[in-house]
Amino acid sequence: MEQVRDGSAVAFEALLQRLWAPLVRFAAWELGDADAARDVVQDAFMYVWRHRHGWKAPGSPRAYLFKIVRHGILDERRRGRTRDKWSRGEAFRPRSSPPDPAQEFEAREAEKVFDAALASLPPRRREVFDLVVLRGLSYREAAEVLGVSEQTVANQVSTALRHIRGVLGL
Amino acid sequence: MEELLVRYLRGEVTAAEADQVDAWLSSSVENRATLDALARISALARATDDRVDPLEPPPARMLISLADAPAQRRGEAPRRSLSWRAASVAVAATAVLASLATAGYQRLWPGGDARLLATEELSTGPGEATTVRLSDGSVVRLGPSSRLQMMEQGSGRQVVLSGRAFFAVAPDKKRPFRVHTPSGTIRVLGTRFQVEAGSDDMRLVVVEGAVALATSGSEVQLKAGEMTSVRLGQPAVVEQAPGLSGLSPSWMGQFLVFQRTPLAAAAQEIAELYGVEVQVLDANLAEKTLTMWFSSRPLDEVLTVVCSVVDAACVIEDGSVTIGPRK
Repeated sequence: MEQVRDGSAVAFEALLQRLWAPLVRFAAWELGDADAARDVVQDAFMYVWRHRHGWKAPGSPRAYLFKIVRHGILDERRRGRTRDKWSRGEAFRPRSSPPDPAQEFEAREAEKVFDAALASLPPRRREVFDLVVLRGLSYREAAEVLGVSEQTVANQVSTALRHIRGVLGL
Repeated sequence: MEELLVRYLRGEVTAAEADQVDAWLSSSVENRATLDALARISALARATDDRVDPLEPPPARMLISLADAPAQRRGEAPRRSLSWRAASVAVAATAVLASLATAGYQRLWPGGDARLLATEELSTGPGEATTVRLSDGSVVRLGPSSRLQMMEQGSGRQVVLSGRAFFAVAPDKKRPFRVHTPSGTIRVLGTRFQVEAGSDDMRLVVVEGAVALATSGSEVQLKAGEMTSVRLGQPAVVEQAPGLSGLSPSWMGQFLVFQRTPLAAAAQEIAELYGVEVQVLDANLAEKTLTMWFSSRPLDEVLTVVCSVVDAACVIEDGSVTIGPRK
């Protein structure tokens, strides 16, 4: 990130390659729209480049990017621009080799229950769950992204996991 | 402990931390159940994640050049300086231009060789238009009160259209693209065309390339600049289409789509849509192709992307645009 601040396009490219996919996935979860997610993440990277001189070490570049993307997500929601295109995005996703139908059915049923469990989490708790469990952010990074204490993150992760385990019967 | 368990499952722990988790696991059956549950949840979450295709990031140099563009040129109304879609296809176009390598092209379109799915459907309400990229790389702009249905059938690419749509079909000689309407079927190899399909009539305008239209008992060929209006059960008559501006109905909005379109043709369409003069100063540049689309983007953003992809210099001066070799 220091090199990005110094104007290194190569360092910017490396940051882009490393964080593009996890950021898009995070935004897609929150927005339910993969196209809008890519837009938000692209804007975030442009913001980072434009404001690179304002970045202050130390700090996690990953948390910094997630924080900017999260602002983009909130902005996108505020503008009411996203619609529920989740199913559409999925519809146009290619499938890999056809799996065994019984396994496929079972897997889809499990995914549906999991989706329902996620949907029933309060938004903030779902965000924390996403950042920590899926994106692998540390509690400290997640706290930085969300502007809360590490203890709050810990509590939210525990509660979210307890809830999901209950719904899934684990 | 949960933070450590998450990292343990992700394989991001030190040896000492792994020992700590192992000790914790062996201390109670309940702990083992907790880890198993977390592993199961993580697996389900990853499966959910896989439903989102992040695609390749846009080229860093393009983001940098857009980010560095003076604020007043970035436009005011649109928050986004550049549609992601445009940027991502620009990646594909760059690869095509650089090497003309089919493999590179398909790699950048992850769904390049995927079959279209059965029973998938996209529809729009009155006054609504939307754009989608199909898994093969084709782009469809669907007009108001229209419906597009994807069909899975062998290796072909087939859709059923009811209503209005503009197609920019990704070239693929091995898998013809077919658009079925009540009045006839359009067979395409790779082109751009606009269709209005009613229950018993159809209007087809070809912007680029060529298509074959099969109606009851006859087949006609249409090439760029030609159109036909067909009524159910009657043969199609091909006629000359009006100029490009006549091809853009209001529902298309400020929409541009190029599918391996030569820069010369793309420049003409940009000129028509934005009401400016666009000149391509170099013959080699004019032959370079573009694969991208824009929806309601300011002219300067369109040009930034276009010129970045063909590696040219775009100059806007006194309402006219020149595209020339980069110095």
